[in-house]
Amino acid sequence: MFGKTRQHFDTLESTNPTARGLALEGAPHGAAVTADYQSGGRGRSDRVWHSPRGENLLVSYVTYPARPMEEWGGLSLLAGVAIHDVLHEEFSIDGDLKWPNDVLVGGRKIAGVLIEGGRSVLGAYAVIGIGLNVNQRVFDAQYVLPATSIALECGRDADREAVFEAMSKRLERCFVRWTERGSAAIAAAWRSRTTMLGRPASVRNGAEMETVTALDIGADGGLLVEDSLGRRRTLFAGDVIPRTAGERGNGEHEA
Amino acid sequence: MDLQYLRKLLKLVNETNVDEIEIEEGGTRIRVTRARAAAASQHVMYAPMPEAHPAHAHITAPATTEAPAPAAAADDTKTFTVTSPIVGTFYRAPAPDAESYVQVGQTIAAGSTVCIIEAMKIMNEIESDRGGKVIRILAENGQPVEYNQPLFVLEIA
Repeated sequence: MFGKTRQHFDTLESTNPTARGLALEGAPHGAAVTADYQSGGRGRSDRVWHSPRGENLLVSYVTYPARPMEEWGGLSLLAGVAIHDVLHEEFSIDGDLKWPNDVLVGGRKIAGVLIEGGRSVLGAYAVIGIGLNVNQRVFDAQYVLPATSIALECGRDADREAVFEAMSKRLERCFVRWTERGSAAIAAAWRSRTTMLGRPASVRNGAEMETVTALDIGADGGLLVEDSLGRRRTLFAGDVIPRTAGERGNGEHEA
Repeated sequence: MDLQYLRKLLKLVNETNVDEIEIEEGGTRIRVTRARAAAASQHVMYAPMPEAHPAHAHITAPATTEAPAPAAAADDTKTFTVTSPIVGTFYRAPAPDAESYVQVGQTIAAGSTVCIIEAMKIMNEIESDRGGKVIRILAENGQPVEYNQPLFVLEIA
């Protein structure tokens, strides 16, 4: 059960490496690592991700996917779907998924995910790291994509423990669905929780920037895009920023 | 084009002794041919139809696990090639400012992490199933890699 086994820390460098350490030791499926504060929180490409002490949900879950690595695109998508549904069901917040699994509210980022996979004694593991802004109300200006939180959206503080419980339950439900029914079922759920399909987006891959139209996602989770010359390709990596998200809209932040 | 489909096609060719397969469906023709011996690579031709449109994508996916390393082809040294299990971005180090997992000349044990392939915001640590001395690194840091693309060649003791 997700979150049933749990280790909580006042301060950690980051919950993901601690969870990976547990995975290597054979921690049970669904084991969670939470922290009040991360001294070295990070996102994709090691971007600094700062969260004030005790305000947000910082959690990493140890999982052992039964599906092969080439199907893990669905794993990436389901994390976003789970966060989206927690916000909707518990707080009536309408989130908008940004490929593959960031969650935006009105163009502002409320949650991010970083998944790290490897092999342990129990087989292939994937640590699903989630950072969800709960009670943070002031955000650094360094973020290019503006941020928001549950407290800012609802006008009142939320109970972090209740958010953790809801997150664990919802993530488990999505994970089981993916395991049993495959990535196509998750992709269908993902499509109904985003507004970015059919709209222009900026794609950043390394130093290059390009405007494309996001058309669809495949069952493998790849994002089908069309460039200005009408050529289509499927993306499996890189930053994709919906043009409607954020005023500056050319990256997540400048770390 | 459906990359998943293409991936399955490449896998199919790799797992069988078929040298060439050509499929035409819904106005798209895909031909996969296997070049045997020295070059040991797969060529995938993808051509939109009708052929009046000259523009087409040409994807070359290098051969898989059993491919002899070009550097080692001349002698009897036994080699093992680590290939990419997924489509994604190749990283030689766990973080931009960290040291690479492996260097040419380094001897590694079976099960050692040799790189990370990022796909769909998942950072996957890739291990070598065999131990040996790293004699070639075939992919560039930060560059996209294809399914089954050779990444490292090891000389097996």
